[in-house]
Amino acid sequence: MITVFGSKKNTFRIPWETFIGYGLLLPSMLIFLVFYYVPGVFLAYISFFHWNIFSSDSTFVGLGNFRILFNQPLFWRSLLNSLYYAVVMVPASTMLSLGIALLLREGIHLKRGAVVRSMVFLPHVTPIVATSIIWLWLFDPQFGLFNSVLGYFHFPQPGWLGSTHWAMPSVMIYSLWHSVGLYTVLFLGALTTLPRSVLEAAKVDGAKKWYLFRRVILPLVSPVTFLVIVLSTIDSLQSFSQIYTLTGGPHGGAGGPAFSTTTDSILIYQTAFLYQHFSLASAMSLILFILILALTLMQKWIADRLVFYR
Amino acid sequence: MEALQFHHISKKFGAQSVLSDINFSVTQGEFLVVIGPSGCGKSTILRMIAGLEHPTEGSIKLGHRNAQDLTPGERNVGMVFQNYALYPHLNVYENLAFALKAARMPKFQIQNRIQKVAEIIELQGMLRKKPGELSGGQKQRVALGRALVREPYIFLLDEPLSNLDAILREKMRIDLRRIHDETQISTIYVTHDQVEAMTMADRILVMHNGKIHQIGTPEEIYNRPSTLFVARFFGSPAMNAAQIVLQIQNHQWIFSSLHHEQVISLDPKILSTYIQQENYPTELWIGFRPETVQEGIGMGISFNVTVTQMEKLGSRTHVHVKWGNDIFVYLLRHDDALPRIGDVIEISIPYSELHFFDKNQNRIELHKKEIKEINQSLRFEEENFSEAN
Repeated sequence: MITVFGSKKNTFRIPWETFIGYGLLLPSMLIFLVFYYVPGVFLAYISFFHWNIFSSDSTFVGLGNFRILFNQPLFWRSLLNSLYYAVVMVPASTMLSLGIALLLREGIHLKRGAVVRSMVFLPHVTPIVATSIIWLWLFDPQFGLFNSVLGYFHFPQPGWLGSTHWAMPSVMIYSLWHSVGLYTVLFLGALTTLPRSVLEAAKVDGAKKWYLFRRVILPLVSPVTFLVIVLSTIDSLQSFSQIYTLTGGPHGGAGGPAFSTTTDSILIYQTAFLYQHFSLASAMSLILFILILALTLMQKWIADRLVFYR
Repeated sequence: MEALQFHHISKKFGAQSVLSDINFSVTQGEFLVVIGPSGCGKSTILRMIAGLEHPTEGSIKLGHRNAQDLTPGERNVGMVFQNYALYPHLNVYENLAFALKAARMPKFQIQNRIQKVAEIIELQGMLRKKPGELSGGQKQRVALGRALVREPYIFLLDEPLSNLDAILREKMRIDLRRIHDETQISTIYVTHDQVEAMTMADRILVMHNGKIHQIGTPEEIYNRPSTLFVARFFGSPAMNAAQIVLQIQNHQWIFSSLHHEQVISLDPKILSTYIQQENYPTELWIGFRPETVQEGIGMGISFNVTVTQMEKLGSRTHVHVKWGNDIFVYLLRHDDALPRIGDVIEISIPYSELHFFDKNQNRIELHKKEIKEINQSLRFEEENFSEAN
């Protein structure tokens, strides 16, 4: 017999596992609390004030900050820029990464396949600011690699980051380069776990490449497609570092030329840290947050009807 | 007409040889069962017919078409995979329609075909269900239907019943054979289950280590196995086998065990064709099925054995006995008197039930005439013996 502390009458015993469970959760809960939830709630709070971080004469203004924003053309411009960026980036990165993953799968058995796969993933692990600076040189209208190559073949040479038309596409090209590796790896994972016999059954059933892709592969990787679409939507609406570095950096003028790359996050940064309007920036962040949340919920709603979960 | 022919097919995966020099053919409407232990290359044969693997050497003919010139889709084979391989995101109807849609068949025709197949394999109630909602047996039927609905030139089944429970397996065995008899589609059925092979096949192809050991009707396979492997693969409990040596001492034939001191009395005439060859190896295998063993001295060969173990199975009992180091098994009916463990008894097997295999485990053919002669002379001796008393 083993003697146990506590009597049998004690019916309010919390199982030991529960303690361990919450104990293990505690560190991450603390981190999220301190760095995400408390600042998040605080942000929502000050977006209803005229807030001054240097003194205590902050006044409650209700929806005043939002009224200011809605009457401000630059705010609308930044929203449009953000949407433009997301609307291009989400389908482009999803399709591009799926395409690359399909190609990589063909060579999955090759000896150097692992090397190629790592090379595709590599851009994603590089620091955005550092590689952006390299791409600044690639995009340089006079001395950059892109225009040298285009010039050699007598193609028209765009002004890239210096042109109001081309500045945003330039940022997108860099962002695709940086983000596609991650999504490719996700897709490749999904493709390699496709049941082999199902693909073989389709082959025996006479499915040609496109039919096989459309009717079997695409539906079976749809959970990952959904994940990639959600991740890239969030990522593109939050993009900041590459836009900041590529379009002006610390020397001012980020978001240029002529506000053509001023996205929401750039405007939030500038409002808060350049013009010290913290409550306005907070209001903008809140709007951006609600926008992302709404988009994600909408995507989830669509996905529940389209995605096939095994 | 030949529906399928394999000509000198070999297959290597890298340096590993999976199949070597495989030759066989299937006639139109035949049900051929390919059987062998895991890894013997039987699935590879099926996958080659479907076009999922390509032979390293040799050629495959589907009717009079060269299989090598055809993609898997063009071969018009209906294949049932071991794990069913249904399209998990499509419902049963869409699963059945998949190949027909890929072939751009008109919609009404697809509906007709599916209707017809759904009746044959009793799928009507579940056409709108997804594979995830079906039981193993239902999935199995859908996989069957998907292959049938194309009205394939040839039907390939890769261990289709191995994931089902015993009762369902028995039912599906009968259903499969019925479907074959109704449709008359040439069928190649891969299994490692000897009962499936014996009950369903027109002919059986036995494989071991990438080679064909025997092709024949179930009766031929069972009664005249061409190698010791085939002999021991079919039948449960497996055929008893022991290695023996032929020797001549004082102009007398002696048959003794290769591994121990025991001797058997055996009329050398039974092996006369073998003995007539020059330089025949003196080591050979003797085999007999458990159900042919009689207790006591009978007409034929007899062994002095010790009972070591008994397995009671209700309707019958498996008696394990030891002959030197060799273990034999024989059967007793439930109402037979059982020996006790440790008993030393005599068992005998009629000459007509003996099988002999040479050193390389290939069958040595005995002639009926010889066996008859021996039996007659034995009967004569017996009669003389009883008259003398």
